[in-house]
Amino acid sequence: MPDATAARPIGFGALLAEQLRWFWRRLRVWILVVTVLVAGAVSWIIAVIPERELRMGNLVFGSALHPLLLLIALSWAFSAWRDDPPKDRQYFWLHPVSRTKHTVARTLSGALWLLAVLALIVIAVLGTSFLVHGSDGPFGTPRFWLYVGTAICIAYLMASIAPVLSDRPGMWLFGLIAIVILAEIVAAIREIEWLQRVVQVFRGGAYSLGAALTAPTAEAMRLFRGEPAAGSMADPTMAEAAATAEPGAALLIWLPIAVVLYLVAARESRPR
Amino acid sequence: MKRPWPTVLEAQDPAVRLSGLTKRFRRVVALDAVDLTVPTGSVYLLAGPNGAGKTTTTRILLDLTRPSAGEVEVLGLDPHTHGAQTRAHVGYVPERTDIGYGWMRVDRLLEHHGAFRTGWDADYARELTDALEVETTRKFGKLSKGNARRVQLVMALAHKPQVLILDEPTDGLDPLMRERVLALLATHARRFQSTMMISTHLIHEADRMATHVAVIDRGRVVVQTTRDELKRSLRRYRTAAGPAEAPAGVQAALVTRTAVDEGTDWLVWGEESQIVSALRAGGVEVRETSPLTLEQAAVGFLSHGIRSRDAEVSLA
Repeated sequence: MPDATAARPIGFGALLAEQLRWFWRRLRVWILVVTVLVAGAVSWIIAVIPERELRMGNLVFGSALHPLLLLIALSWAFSAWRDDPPKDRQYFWLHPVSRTKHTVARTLSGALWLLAVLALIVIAVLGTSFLVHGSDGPFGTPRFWLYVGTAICIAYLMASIAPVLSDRPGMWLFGLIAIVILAEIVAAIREIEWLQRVVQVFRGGAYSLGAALTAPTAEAMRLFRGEPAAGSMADPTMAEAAATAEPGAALLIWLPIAVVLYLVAARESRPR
Repeated sequence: MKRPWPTVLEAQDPAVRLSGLTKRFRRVVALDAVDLTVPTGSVYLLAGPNGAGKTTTTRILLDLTRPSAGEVEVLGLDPHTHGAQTRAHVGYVPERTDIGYGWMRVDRLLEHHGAFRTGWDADYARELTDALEVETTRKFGKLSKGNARRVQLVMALAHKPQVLILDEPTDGLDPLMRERVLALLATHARRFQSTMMISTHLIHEADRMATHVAVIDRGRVVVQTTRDELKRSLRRYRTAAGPAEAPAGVQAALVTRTAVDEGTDWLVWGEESQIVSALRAGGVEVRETSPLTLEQAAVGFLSHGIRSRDAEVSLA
């Protein structure tokens, strides 16, 4: 019988700490580049905006920064598993820890690094605003940052499901997006009501996944109300979704859904 | 025909026990009701040709593959239901060297590996890296197969596990390093009383270490016994050219019969004096008897397996 005191599985805290270290070693260049470029660019924009137009900064976040952070969240999700596709995950699975917890720890460490980068961006934005304009202006709205953090976590968790389960995560993720878009087109052309309702769960609906992911944009628009707004946004679909969305509610609905879906995927991730 | 050589081992509290283990990959039967018993403290050689089912067996022990049927126990634990606990007590050298962490420096990979193991001994890891001349500042992915194998050996040994499962541990090593690795494994097993299960087709390498041997072929156990019993019971009998049929007294115990220049070599299982008497009773003149190396014995049993299959095919 094994001597339980001689060798035992490490706890979740130690596992998470090791995965945070692993993530830093694997993606430190990417983490630093993203932090410096994004925080630098946003700080520069804030520094050059005249004080009376400071509220314009919200639009910067809504139309440019937020989608950029979503893309970073997607790339983060894929990078975390780039060397460990399920068919070659033997080494990852050989460690003496619960495989589900190990998978969760890797993903959670990525989410924590993502939030750390966001925190640095917030500090840079608020710091620049204070230094240049003497106040935090509209950037001090905690709800906006809360929406940004939650939206990128939802995107990150949803996107993580694909590389956790599949050797071809890109095909699955972009395939599903393409299917939703195709279904939307078919539903509109053929006026298929039930299909429209299904599509609205993901896009366009007030509580849809799209509404959750674009919640910071909607919040930015709310803060920017009265100025020339939606038409100037980079993505008209995003603007349209943001205009009709219930961002707070959508985030509250989709965050637990993303967590549950991810946990199911982590549980199903095992040697075949 | 009932064969006299053992295919089942008995041991109290074995380190590893497989019972009725079967693994099917769609229509292919990789393991067919395999029973293996690895006694605690033994150096157990799992021998067989490529594709015999050795790697599938070791992967099942680490729950990297699920069996289709049968029971598995490592240190009394089921590797599937108690995976983390089981793996905490096992050191493993996989067949493959590309573990997917090629971007990591070797020293950091070892640090990462050790972080998961409460028994990791950093001093012993350094001792091993020195002994095996591991280049710790290079990226793992830039190492040759032999150098990567040395890193994997450090990873398997440095937490001083109770059970070592080594799948082709000397694969890719040069002859000098092979000798060094085999000596190091023998020292490690003695020092830490580890049970060692070595899966290899390079049987001669494990000859000096092995205390127990199993030969598997096409997913079936051909023989499973102690090395001493194998050496004692399986011998070569060199005779003058014998009759076409084996004498009745040795038919069941005959492993192989090969024509050589000076007559015939018979590999027969059993008590030497009884075999000699049985051969003589059948009119065969025994000139000389000699023991076999592990490799010769394993090759004999594998040849026997091939002949048996050929016989089954011709009967069918």
